[in-house]
Amino acid sequence: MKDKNSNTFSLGQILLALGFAFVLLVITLIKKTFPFPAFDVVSDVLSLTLLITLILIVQPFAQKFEKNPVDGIKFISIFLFALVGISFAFKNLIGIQKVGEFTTLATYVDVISANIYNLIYAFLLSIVFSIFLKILFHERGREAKVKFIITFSYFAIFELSRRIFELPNLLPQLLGGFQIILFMWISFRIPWVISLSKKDKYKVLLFSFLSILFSFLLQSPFVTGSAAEGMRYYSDLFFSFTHFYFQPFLIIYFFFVFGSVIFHLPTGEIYERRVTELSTLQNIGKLVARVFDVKEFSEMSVKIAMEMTNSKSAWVEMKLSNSTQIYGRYGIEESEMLKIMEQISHVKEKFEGVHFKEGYHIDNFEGKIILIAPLVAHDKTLGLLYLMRDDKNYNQDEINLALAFAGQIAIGVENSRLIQESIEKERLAREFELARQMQKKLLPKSLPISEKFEISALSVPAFEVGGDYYDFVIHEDGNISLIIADVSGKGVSAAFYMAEIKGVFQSLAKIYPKPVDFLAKMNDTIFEHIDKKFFITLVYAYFDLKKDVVYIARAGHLPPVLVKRGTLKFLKLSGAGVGLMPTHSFRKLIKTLKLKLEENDLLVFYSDGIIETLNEENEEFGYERFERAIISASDKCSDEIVNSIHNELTSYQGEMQQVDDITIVVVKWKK
Amino acid sequence: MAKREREKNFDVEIEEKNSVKVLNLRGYLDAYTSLKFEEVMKKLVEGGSYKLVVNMKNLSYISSAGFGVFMAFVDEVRKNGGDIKFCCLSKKIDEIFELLGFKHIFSVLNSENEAIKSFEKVRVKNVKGRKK
Repeated sequence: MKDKNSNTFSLGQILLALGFAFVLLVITLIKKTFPFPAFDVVSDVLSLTLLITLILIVQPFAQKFEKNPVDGIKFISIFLFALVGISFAFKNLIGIQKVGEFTTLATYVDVISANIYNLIYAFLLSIVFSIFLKILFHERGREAKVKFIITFSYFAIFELSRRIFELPNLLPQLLGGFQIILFMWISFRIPWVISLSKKDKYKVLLFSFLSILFSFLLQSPFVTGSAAEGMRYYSDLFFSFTHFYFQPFLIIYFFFVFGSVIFHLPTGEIYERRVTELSTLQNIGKLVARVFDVKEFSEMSVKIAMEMTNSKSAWVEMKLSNSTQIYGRYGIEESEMLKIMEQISHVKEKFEGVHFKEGYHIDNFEGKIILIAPLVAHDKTLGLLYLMRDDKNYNQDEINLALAFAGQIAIGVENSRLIQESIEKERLAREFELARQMQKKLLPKSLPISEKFEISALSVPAFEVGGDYYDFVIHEDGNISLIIADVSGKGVSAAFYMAEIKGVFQSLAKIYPKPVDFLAKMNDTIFEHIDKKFFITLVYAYFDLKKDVVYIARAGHLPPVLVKRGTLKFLKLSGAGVGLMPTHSFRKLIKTLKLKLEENDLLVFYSDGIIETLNEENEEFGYERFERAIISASDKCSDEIVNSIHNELTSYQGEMQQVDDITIVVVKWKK
Repeated sequence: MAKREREKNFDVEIEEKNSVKVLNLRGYLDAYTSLKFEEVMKKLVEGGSYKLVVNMKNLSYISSAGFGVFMAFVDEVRKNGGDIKFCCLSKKIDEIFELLGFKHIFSVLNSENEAIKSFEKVRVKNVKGRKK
């Protein structure tokens, strides 16, 4: 409801206005018979209230011209014309007579016509006045409002004093003259004229001229004649407001508008060009958001840049990750373009470097003018925009425009790169997720249970999956083979190699349980059969449960830890990574350790992720902390030992991201 | 974190000394930076540089992928009468070389000059060998 009210004329206000008009009719009729001055005051007050009510009624209509002065002036001139029309019509409908030096209306019918005339007049005037105020305050701040209040107060005081005091000769003229100066003072600045298009300027010229003309006509007794007398009879104040305040104000304001438009007419073309340029840039901006293909985007932009800067040929040289590409070549042969680029290749240095922020280069080539604008985004020069034409030098406007286009292209290119990057990131994240799933499936689901020993294991994959792997084989005689390995590489490729190792381990360990045989066979399957870059480090342990003996060999992996009777030892056995060298050399390096196991002996197998875990100061967890963590937990059961080491590690790591897989396998001998 | 970012950078500087290319590695050679390093090595080897000394004085970290890069080129380099030699390992990296068995595949020397000179010896030997 509220919305509706604000957009349409309110019925209540209209009824109120009609009420005032009716009372005025009654008063003016009484006044005809009893011409007391008190009635004049009453009719003045009433007509003023009526006018204010009418102004309030027409506000929703005037609102439409809030930001549209051109249409506002058009409507003002139309309504002024209507005012002239009705004044001219009523001129002959209202009869007047002279009583002494006073002019008054002839008959009661004249009084009624005068009332109708004034009501229509007041209604039209309220519209004109409301629209006029919108135009007057358009693009102006408080200053205009303050000035308006001053001119209006001046008018009010002037009117009041004119009625109360007998003003001496010439003073009213003088005061009236000052009112005119006030009008000039308020009308002096018309900011909205500058930004008009040429077409609008011509419109404004026409309508402001018409408004001036109609206002003059309304002032003229030849047009209004006895209609004006009717108004004076109706309300002297209303007459003064229209004839001494509002119409002069209109004339002066529109005179200033007219002059201002004339003055700014030549700038119209430049302004219009600016608008086109801006909208083109904006369109490119939209393009930036839509087109992710660098080539397509740059070709479109280069073409527009060429046209907007009045160039004959254009192209853009784009620096991509490992090459330079030419996009959007227009109006020039490739051979000539290459010749020019070779000739001015030294210029490029100017645009390189971290400190380069802005600038351009103008060069000559066989009588042609070349303008080079760098594509700068995020302080990086991504490429160069070349614009070329035959004779005329580029002016500052065109240079600025070229730079703006270059900037837009750069942003577009950068955006597209960022999008590609995020797509790539997304792809990697999915790849890593897949790798983590694979790794999880490759690790044993349960660990062997034996009365001889406890075994516990923990493997925490890093986001990128580091390729840690552990597994075991239970032989037919009940003995157990354990492996802990780190496959080189990350992500899916690491997971893929892990799967391969799992196959090799599960099949070979059953046939060749002894470490050297197993590792030699494994090296056979890996060396020169998989990518040269690829190798594995691992520790292999074969537990003979009947003899309480373990055979351990180390192939390049971090040395396993043995805790025997409270003493900790790193088993730095000779050995090399699997897949690094031919088996005959590899076999010679591998040394097996045979170890008799007793109750409470502890073996800890682990990956480099543990040793290399960084804390917030960027220091590695290292061997010493690892040693201490093992020793302090060595009395506990294997599960607790694993947990205790892991807790130690996570608290050391703090807020740092885990970069590599973490794997621990603990074997504790029972008897 | 900024510190970490800086450490994760990797950089190679290549100098030529007595027809031996010396590669000064700097920073953090992990699964990512090794891709960049592999490009560098590829260009060198394809460009016919087979005598390579890798100076690891300023290398703070090397992962298995980093070692993989050397493995990828060592055969081709040796086939062409050259080699990859290492020098100036930090204690930490020396230990990784040791654990991995890399010292059995590559020669590791204490100083850059020694590494460069060791190539000369090979040349002399080769010349002698041919005369025989």
